[in-house]
This record gives sequence, C-alpha cells and structure tokens, in this order.
Amino acid sequence: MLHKYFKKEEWFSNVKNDTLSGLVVALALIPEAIAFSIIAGVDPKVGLYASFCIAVVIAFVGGRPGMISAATGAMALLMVTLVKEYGLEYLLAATVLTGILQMIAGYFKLGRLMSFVPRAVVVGFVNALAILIFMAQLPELTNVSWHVYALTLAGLGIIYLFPYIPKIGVLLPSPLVTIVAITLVVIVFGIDVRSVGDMGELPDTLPIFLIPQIPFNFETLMIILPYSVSLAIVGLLESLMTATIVDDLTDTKSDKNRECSGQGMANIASGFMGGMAGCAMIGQSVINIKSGGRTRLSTLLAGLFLLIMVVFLSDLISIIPMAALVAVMIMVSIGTFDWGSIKKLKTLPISTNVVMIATVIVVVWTHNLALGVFVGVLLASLFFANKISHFMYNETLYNEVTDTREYKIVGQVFFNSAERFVEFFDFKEVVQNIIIDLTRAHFWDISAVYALDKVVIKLRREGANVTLIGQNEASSTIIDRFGIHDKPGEIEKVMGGH
Amino acid sequence: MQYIKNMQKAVFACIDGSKYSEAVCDYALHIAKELNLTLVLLNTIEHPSSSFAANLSGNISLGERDDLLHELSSEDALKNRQTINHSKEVLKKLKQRVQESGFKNITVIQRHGTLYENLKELEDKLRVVIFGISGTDHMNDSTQIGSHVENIIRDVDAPIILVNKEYTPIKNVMIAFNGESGSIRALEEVSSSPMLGRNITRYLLNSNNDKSRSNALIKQAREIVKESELRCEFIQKSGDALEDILESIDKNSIDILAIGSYSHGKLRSALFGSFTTKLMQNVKIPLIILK
Repeated sequence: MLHKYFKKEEWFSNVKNDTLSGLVVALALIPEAIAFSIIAGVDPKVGLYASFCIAVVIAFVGGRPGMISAATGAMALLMVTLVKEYGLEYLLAATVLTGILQMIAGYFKLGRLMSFVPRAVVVGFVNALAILIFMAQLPELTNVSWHVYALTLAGLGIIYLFPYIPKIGVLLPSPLVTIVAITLVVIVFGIDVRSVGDMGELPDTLPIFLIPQIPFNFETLMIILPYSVSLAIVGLLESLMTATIVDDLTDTKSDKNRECSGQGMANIASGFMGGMAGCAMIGQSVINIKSGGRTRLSTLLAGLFLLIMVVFLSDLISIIPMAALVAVMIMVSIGTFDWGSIKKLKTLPISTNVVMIATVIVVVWTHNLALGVFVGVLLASLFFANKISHFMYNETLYNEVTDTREYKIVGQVFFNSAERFVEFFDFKEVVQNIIIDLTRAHFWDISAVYALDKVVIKLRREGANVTLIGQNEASSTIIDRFGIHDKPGEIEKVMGGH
Repeated sequence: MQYIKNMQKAVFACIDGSKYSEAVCDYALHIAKELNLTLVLLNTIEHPSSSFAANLSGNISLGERDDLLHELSSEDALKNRQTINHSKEVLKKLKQRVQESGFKNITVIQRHGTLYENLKELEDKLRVVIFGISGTDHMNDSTQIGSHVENIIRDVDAPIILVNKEYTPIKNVMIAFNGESGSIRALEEVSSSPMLGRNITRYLLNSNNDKSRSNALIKQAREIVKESELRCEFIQKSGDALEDILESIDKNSIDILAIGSYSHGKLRSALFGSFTTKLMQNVKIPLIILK
C-alpha cells in the first residue's frame, strides 16, 4: 500500500531540473495565491497557506506527477458570496467538505465521467477561465492614477521581453524580475500606489491545525453544501483537464481516480490549516513543464519554497505594488487562454463552436464554471442527438397483386427522430395490407416505441391490415444497462444488419 | 517482425545496450538451445523520465501550450529515433552472433515503454527472462541494482536469470534452499526442467543453525529431486547465510546460483534490507530467481 506513494522514478529521476522548476513555480505561485485570495475576499495568507498545503499534499497523493495544484481563480470565484455573507470560518468548513466530496468521487471512480465532457466544452472552460482571471484584475485597474497603468504595462513588457535577453533571459524567471523591478521603481520614485500589504494579512508563522469555528449543525451544512458541491465539481474538472494537458505535454499517463481523491485529501488538509479550496492550475502546470519539472519532487518543492519565501520574506512581499501582481496575472490569463481554439474557429463545425462559445458566455455571466460546463455538455448532447437522428431512412415498396404497401425502416429511432419516423408513413393512401419491416431499425427509447404504437393504431383505424416484421430485433436496443450487449459479437448483432 | 500477441512461449533476452548485453545474449542462447524454444532479443525504448535543458523564464504567452507541445514532442522524437537506431545496431550484431553459432530460431523485438511494463504485458509468453544486473544508468557501479530490477523480480511471474558477468559455460548449479516457496520452485525448475541440461552437477545448500530443521529441509529437497540419475550433492551449513553461500560458491567453483526471491513485503525490505538484494549485490555469478 505504502510503496505506491514512493515510486522512486516518480520522485528522483529528474532532481536538478525539478528543483529549479519548483523554484520558478513557487515564485509564480506567490502572486497568484495573493491575487486569488483577493478575488475570494479573504486575507492573502488564506490563499498562501492553501497553496502550500495543497501543493505539498498533492505531491504525495496526486495521480499526475509534475502537475501543480494550489489556490486557483476558478475556485476563488465560487467562494465570493459565501465569504461575503458568512465569513472565513464557513469558507474553511466548506473547503473541508469539498475535500470529502472529492474523495468520495475518487472512491466511486467518477473520474471516468470526464468522458462525457466534449473537447469543445473543455476548450470553453479553459477560455472562460482565462477571461475570468483577466476580469478579476479589472478592479485594480479602474479608478486609479495613470501610474498604475504605466507600471502594469511596464511589468508586462518585462515579462515578455526579458526572456529574449541572451543567457540570463532563460535563467531568471521573468515574473520575478518584473516584481523586483516594479517594486524598486515604486520605492525609488516614491510613487503612491496600492501594495500587497494593503490587501490584508500576510502569513507570519507556519500554518497550524485549526478546526473551523462554526456551529456543527444541519443549518450550517445546508449553507456550505451548495458551495462545496460547486467547488468539488469545478476543482475536479479543472484538475482532470490539467492532468490531460500534462499527459499530452509529457507523453505519459496519469491516474485520474487517484487524482480525484488526492485533490480531496489536499483540500481537507488546506481547510484544517486555514487555507481555501484549490485545484490543479493550468498555467502553473504548463510553466512547470516548460521549466523542466517532471516528477512529484517539483510539486513538493514548489510548495515548500513558497512557504519558506512567504514566511521569511513577508515584509518584502507586503511592499510589492499591486500593479506588478496584475501584470503577472494578466500573463497567467493570456497563457491559460487556448489560442489554438480561436484560430480553428473557422474550420470547425458550427455546432462545436456554439458549444464552446455558449460555455464561455455562461461562465463569464455567472462566474460559475460548473454551470458553464453543465450548459456546454447539455448543448453538445443535444447536437449529438440531432446528428444521430439523421441516420434514419425509409424504403417503400408497393405490391399491386396483393395490394400491399411495405415500409422498410433503417436507422436510429429515438426521442429526437420519433416524429420524423411517423412522417415516413402515408396515412392517406388507401391500401389493404401494410407491412412495416423493422429488422434494420433500432429503437433506443420509449419515445420510439410510443411512435410505432401510434403509427400502427392510425393505420389500422384507416382499415388496413398491419403486419410488423423484426419488432424484437428493433427493440433489443432498448437496454439501459449494457451487459452482454457490449461484447463485439453482440454489438454486431444489434448494430449490424441483423 | 512477428505479431506479439500470437507468440509462443519463448526465452527472452533483454538487451539494453549496456556492458552485459553480449553476456545476456549468450546465456539466453544457451538456455534457448537446451529448452529448444525461440530466443527473443527484446529491446525496450524507455520514455525519458527526465527533461532537457530547461527554460526557466517562467512566463507563458498566447498559444504557448501548443508550441510547447510541439517543441517537447519533436525533442522526444529526435531522442527516441537516436535510441531506436542505436539499439537496432546492437540487436543486429547480437542476432548475427547467434545465427553464426548455428541457432536459427531467433526473433528480434523492439517495444516502447519500460522493461517492467513490457515484461508484464508479455508475461504469458515468458519461459525464462534474462537480463543484466545494471542498466545503462548505473554502468560504472557494480553494486548498484538497476532501477527496474527489483520491481521486475517482485512482480513478473517467470523464472528470471540475472547476468552480472561475461558468459562462461554452465557446468554446475547451486540452489540456495531454505524451504520457502521461492526456493522450492527454484529447486523444481533446475532439477526437473531441462533448462540447464541434464549432465551438470547440482549442489543444494541449506544454511541453518537448527540442525533438525536443516535435516528436515534436506529430506524435503531430496524428495523434490527424486530422479536418481541427476548428480546432486547436498551441503548443510550453519552460520551466516550470505557467507555460507559465498564460501560454497568459491569452494565448488559454481557457475550459476538458483534462489527464491523476496519473501517479504517491500516496506519490510526497505526498513531492514532484503536478503535477495544483498545476494544480488554480493554474488559474482549469475542468479536464477524464482518467486
């Protein structure tokens, strides 16, 4: 059991690069954790403690080595009203409950439900997240002096141009250079702009174990449960999406169910250590891979470096101007955005684009990624049903000698195609015998059966003798549970020409 | 190349291009001849688990994820192609060597993934698996056990031969017998199967401080060996098991040692050290290992 957590090659196969990338990620995590705390409406220390706890715990129990998890924007956005109305203690309790729900999801192997989320929804989720992270920076950029704009632009300039300097450009993390440079400029010229210290308390000690101070009753549960459910869903969605991105980048496999329960354990730890709920981070994970991080060691070190820097350098961190932070966050937003999806808009089918854009709009509208995914999946399913319903046609023959009309129905009959199925039949035709051949039709649900009943009754009422052929084969597809039916031979029987 | 799923049981020589590759091939050839089975030269192309020179600029720009994917995959492609071609050379030479010795029943297989993964997948095709004690990673350190060796010995269900020196003809074998299931299977394998040929001398060593227990074990071993034509000597010792084994190997100039593997869990081995690991580190002749 224990050795599962200590596979040597998952820890020590890439030590030098993992150490460096852990450091780079820790430096980038600090501004993010602070920024996301501000979004959630809590002190920066809540996000920083969360990032430390989650990164350290997930390093051991996660299912995707090399992926970075910490306090995230997607999760922070879901907590805003809870914090505003009930305060921090309820957030901590909700965080623990989120973790418990995620562990349950991991136990029941719900990671496989990800297969119901189409690619278009994933892209929509990622783009919406990028937009939300950007929008969360806007309060820092409205009703401020021109100094803030200048500093933010200068910050972005450094972030993207510094790496072009030969040699040191790829050795020093440009977000760090930005933060140091902007801070120095503000201090040297005595510019009066808001700094991180103005946004709330920073950590001055190591995190300690605390039981959230809330009344333990049913009422409390009803307050935090809806938040926890959203948090659990969004956390797992972003984590599993990020895991897939890291899988692709590194051409390795991850254990999705272990990741689900791992995220749960990390959130439980975070809640009890005074941190907010978090999940995997797309931007940071990409930065980690780009910086050479591959194993669990990089994740662990990112968390440890973060804590060391935050606890021992909190005085320095408090003087960082918010403008520098905003510049870093705009970079994160840009990096999170799936630019390829915009370039491909023209070539993809309209239904795919509608699903993607609808997901983005719903998320940006409601600030709830779970709702966006729900709408996206729903739309995608409807489009799919619509496409499949076209796989139905009708051949018809008339035998003059016996005065018999034969209808041969081929294809998929279900709720969406049932109406078209009825329209195949010519109810006005006066004919003595009618044969409906269903051997090559597939009846997927009760709507299809009901439509057939309707057709038969109507034809009989007009005075014709109606015979059905192959009714059993057609309705053998009405099965909710695939048991023997999903074996190749059986699939052939059901889907093939009978 | 033969379609892997239709293969018959065969003798697998795992070739990684390290210094023991030729010896692995020669031992495997010997055993394939004795068993009259196909000799498979298996080479695995492991995915690099470490990264290249990193870019520590720590920023991400628009569309960088896609760029990074292309960059990393072309880096991997380049490295993989080099490894594949290098291994192909090695395999070609070894195949020629085998064919020149007059043995024609040989197949070469190259597969992606770790040796462990591939052996697990091929488990039901493995009659015997032969590989070198240290992979290319630890080429200069003879006491280091290759990174996958322990996992393979623990999990892969097949007789394993661990090669740690140049090939010399096998004229005798010693079985370290302690009555545990692994050593019983080791004894059965080297006494009843023709793996090592019938005409070699077999030594059976039991090292035990408890005389009556030792006698009982020797009696049990005699029953397993049964066949009287086999030349088999029984040695009883009392003292430190490892030293007894090393001493008997020296005294009788043993060519190959058969043992049962890891009778304890991984955790206990990690805490107290494992006898199997100690043997692998100290014995200077190839080991036949059974679970």
